[in-house]
Amino acid sequence: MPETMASVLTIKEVNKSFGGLKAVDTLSIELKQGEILGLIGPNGAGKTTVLNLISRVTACDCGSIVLEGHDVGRCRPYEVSDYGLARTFQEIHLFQGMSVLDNMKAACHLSGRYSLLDALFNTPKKVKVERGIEKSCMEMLAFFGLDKDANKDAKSLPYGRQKLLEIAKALVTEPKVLLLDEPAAGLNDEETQQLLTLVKKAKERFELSIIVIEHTMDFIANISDRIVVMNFGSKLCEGTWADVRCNPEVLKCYLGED
Amino acid sequence: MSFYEGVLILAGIVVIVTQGVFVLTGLTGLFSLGQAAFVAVGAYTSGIANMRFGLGFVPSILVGMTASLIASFIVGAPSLRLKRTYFSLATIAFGYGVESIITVSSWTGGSIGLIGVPNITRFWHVAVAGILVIWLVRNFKLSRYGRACISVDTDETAAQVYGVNSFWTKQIAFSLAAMIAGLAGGLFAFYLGYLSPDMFGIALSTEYLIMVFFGGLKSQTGAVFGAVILTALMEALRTAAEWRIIIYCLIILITILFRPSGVFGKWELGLPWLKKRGGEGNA
Repeated sequence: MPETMASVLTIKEVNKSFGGLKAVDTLSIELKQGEILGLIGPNGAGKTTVLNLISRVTACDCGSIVLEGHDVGRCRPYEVSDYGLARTFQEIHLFQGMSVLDNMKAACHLSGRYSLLDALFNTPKKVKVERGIEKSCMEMLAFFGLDKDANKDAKSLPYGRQKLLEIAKALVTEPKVLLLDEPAAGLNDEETQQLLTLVKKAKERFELSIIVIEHTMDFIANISDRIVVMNFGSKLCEGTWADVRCNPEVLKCYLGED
Repeated sequence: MSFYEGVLILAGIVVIVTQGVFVLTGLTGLFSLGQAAFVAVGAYTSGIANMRFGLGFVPSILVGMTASLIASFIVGAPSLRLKRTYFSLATIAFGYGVESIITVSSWTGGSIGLIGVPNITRFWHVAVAGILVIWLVRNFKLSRYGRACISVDTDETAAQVYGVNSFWTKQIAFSLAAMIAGLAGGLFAFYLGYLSPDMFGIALSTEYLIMVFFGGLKSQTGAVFGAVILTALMEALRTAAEWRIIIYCLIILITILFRPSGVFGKWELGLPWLKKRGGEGNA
């Protein structure tokens, strides 16, 4: 990844405490255009809190988060999506009782807009927008090989496919920055490999910049252009996989000294 | 007007109210125990608009719906930001508040009631209004707003990540339900010709909820079914008033035991046909 690439996301000196516990401590991270940034660290290092702060699920105490030139640090959670941010969660967050297709459509709340009156009176504008939403949802489902499951109850899908659906949902919002929180957790080797290929393909096709948290080191090593290692809410080091795996501090805190 | 037309009018009015309850509780997961108070606001405002200001049947009902809409913002703005339990408590307080205001105000006829609203409502009025409301609610359910309501109900955090303003989504559902209740109230006022404060208590709000639960909380068809069946049953048991509440309790218990998701579950009448025609999903 060239050094000169523009930043799409800049986190500067961000802090977050939960009572007496400092979950994120003066953290600064930069995500460059078209980059996949791996975020690793032991359990409790504050990785998920960082994603929560970026997506405003959790409010930060101080510091700035700039997404595509917009300071999103004081945004409401529902406003960040408008600036081109999408995310998945560590646990699956599908909307229960909805089909696969309707889960996708629900994610298009902002990309397919029409007024309440259009909705109530089923105007031609609503019908046209809804058809457009359905088309883009089906295309995204086809990209992830989920199109045949479109009318199934989302919760009835096998775990691995639910994980794929979560990513498909995030991508159908047409984001510029995608945050993936442990996408390979609970997947077998074959599913992990399939996920790896799909994420790389999606990055190229949709021109994404991605931050990914993962404990599966093979996955992180294969997917990341750059890696940030966190410990106790702070950045321990950053660099390529080759750099961080040889860093004695990383070996000590995370990979084990041996 | 025959007894049967009266029963049909009452059933139709209840069908209209429960469509609003379906939007609020079935889609959005909010429990309002003050829905009857919105019916009261619509009924009294329509009656007063006609009797004191000489407005016609339709304009009076529109004024009643507007009053219910305004009331929904007054109640919703502070309470919809709170946890769901507190919202329900706020709707109970609203119900008692409306009852008290109606009881003490000279405009509403106080505890004696509002007497002399012209008897205009006929079955066809209720049928037209009912079909219109069912169509509007069906469109709402199959729109981005309906999906937003369901997503806020099932996972508010995830919904917000996808750009859903959860407060506004709840407010829209609450206001839509209130306006629908206001419409039902207006029709009721012009049907009965007499309104009294004790007609719109918390017991009536609970009955609306039971009807939607009985039919199927996630089914619009179920809400219509529950409203028609239970209203007809109550009218049939009018001569044995002391048994009504016992039968109601039995119905709830049997439903909870054998069909916890209601008679219809989330099944919708005619949806496959609609899906083929409009390419719509089953949100």
